[in-house]
Amino acid sequence: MSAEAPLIAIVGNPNSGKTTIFNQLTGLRQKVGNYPGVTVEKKIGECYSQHGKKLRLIDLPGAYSLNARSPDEAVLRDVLLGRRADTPRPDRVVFIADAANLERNLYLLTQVLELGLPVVLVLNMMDIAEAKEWRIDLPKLSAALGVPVVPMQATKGTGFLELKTAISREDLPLPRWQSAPLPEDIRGALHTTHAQLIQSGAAHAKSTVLEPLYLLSDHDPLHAGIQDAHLEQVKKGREALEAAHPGWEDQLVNDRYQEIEKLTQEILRRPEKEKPTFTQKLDAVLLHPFLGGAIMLAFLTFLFYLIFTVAETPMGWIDSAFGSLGTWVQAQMPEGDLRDLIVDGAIAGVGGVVIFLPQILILFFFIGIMEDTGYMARVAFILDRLMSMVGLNGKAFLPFLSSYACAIPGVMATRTIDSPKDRLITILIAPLASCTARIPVYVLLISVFMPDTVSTWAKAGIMVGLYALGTLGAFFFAWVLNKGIMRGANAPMILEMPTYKMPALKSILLLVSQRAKAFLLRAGTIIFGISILIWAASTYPKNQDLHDHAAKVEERISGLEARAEDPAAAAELEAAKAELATVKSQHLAQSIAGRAGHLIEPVIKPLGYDWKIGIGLIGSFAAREVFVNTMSVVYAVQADDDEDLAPVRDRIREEKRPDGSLVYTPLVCISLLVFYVFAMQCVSTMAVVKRETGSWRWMWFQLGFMSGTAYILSLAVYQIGTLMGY
Amino acid sequence: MNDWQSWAALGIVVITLAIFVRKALTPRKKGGCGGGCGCSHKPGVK
Repeated sequence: MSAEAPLIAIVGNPNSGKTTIFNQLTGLRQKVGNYPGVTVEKKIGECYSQHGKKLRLIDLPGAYSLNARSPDEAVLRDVLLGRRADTPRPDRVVFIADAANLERNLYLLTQVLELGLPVVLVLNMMDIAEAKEWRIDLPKLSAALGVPVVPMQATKGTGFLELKTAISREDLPLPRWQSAPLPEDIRGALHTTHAQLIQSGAAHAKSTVLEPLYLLSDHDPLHAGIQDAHLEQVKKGREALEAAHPGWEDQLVNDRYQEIEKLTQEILRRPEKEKPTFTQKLDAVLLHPFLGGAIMLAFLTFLFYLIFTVAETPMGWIDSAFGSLGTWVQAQMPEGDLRDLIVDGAIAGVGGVVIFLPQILILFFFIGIMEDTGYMARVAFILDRLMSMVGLNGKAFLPFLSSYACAIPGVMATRTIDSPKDRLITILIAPLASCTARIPVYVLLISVFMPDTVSTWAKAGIMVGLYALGTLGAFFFAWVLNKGIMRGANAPMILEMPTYKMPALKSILLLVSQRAKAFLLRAGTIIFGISILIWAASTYPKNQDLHDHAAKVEERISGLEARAEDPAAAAELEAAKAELATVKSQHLAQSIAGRAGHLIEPVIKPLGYDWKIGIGLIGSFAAREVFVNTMSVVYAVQADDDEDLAPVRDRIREEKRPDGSLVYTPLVCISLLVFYVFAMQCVSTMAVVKRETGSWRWMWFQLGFMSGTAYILSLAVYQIGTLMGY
Repeated sequence: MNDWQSWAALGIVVITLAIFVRKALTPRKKGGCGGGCGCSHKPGVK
């Protein structure tokens, strides 16, 4: 026992409810979802026993066995065997088993029971087992395993008192369960290898024979948790064992399954003929080869329809709030650079992005419902048909799905993919999933080229189209990479279908509030800072002549406004406003941002973009949504005081080229949308890709192929559209 | 002319730029997207 508070590991198969239970016990708010693989790293929290003693809890990634096949499964093995330098070996284990899939869960359970740690078995999802008319003999199961058994329905909070009582016990017995002894010849060989591994330092001196067993049966291609220096020793041990006892691993697996079958027959009674469950009935429709896809598309279209309609009112509130704030600052401060920085930089920039908060929250509310009900796993199944056609690993779905929120967790989640080749391909294509940072850009440009009179369903259709374009683009590149660049065998598809559940409002609201917090935090820090820098880049260096000229015109405008009722004065006022816009535009053109925009103009002109859009493209290289706040700041800087608080959408709609034609024609907007579907434009993702692939080469390759595709397709859209007369 | 405003604005810009440069040059302790998704954790020891 460690001198610190006892460490309790929460262990179980993927999607058995570990994180829900961890959150309930610790009061923490880790992400949960009704699909496998949500937890890919260990998480630590604290709670107090019934006697007020502090307990430390560690939530470990789900696994099907201790014979690791991926880095996240290796985390579980290494923590339980005490092989991690950063985590002490747990003092107790809480094993969460899905009662409705008991037999499958017993495989890992029996392995854990043999590790010599006190275990509490939680049978979660008892309601689903009962709905299937399963009868589990809990006292018999407890007696057979020698561990306390706690029935539970974690989502409803039942069974937590019993669990808290069980983990509070300091006299928890060691499990009674012992698998059939290892065949003598295999045991002997393992002992020999064990001694060699201890000698080389690959295994702990005090470890049992199970440590070499799980090291020798490590199938994680990355061999996470095993030092490079020890890999050779492990490899030699495996080869020696395989040579002496061919098929030893299969034999051990079969032996364990036979024992599990025997145990299941004793403790579980199932009806003779199981009735189709609610999940099976619903899956017959939702997973139908044609209906399933159609329902998915209809659902997504409805989701985007809601995003456009429901979000409109709160967006108006946010817009008014930022507008009022700007007006108030203008009224309180005399004219000057600081006032311009606050109004045109900070307020216009941050407001331009925060306005999209309602849409992002609605999206996450529905993602939460899809995850919590189990529908997300069905979407995975439907898309897997496409994914397998292009050679994508089934395990690539979850990382790809996460990338629709943000590519960073998506790239991180690829750690669950066993094959290095499949993992790399998934990392390379993950940023093509339309992340939430693209939403402000999509919504802004759609609302610019589709007037308010156009049906919301049409706008929702365009949104679905953009998501589909990114998804199909990702599949296309996966296919190209698979067939052309990284040939090799593909791993088989393994996808576990969770049962449908009523969504837990609490966990959905938790997801939504976390996203709101993250979004506002980003707007209040990074976007705020970038807005200030973009204002500076659009303002400096100052041209005194243009500045004085603008001041004179503004003075003239003030005088003319006082007698605006006079038709002659009104005409003069319009001319003065046009002159002011020209002077401000000239000032912007000679600023740092303006010069940068002009510098890249020859490259982006064939795409239909002017130098001001160029400023947006440069600014948004850091992050896609920065395009919106860059344009908000740029157009605020060049507007006069009356107009610089107008919504960026209105300014963009009215922006004209020197020849008087509109800049943002439908064709330019579509070209820009296509650009943002495919362009990398995210420095944080690039950094994570570099870290996860351990290579600059792949990071640059990804930047190159994504930016190249974005350029070529946007060029094609604009040039073909122009040729066709649009 | 509000000279104090010009200097104050310039000061804010310089400080903001310094924060960004410092952030870019300092090794990341906690990376990630800020979404509580666990992406700030380093991969397991190999």
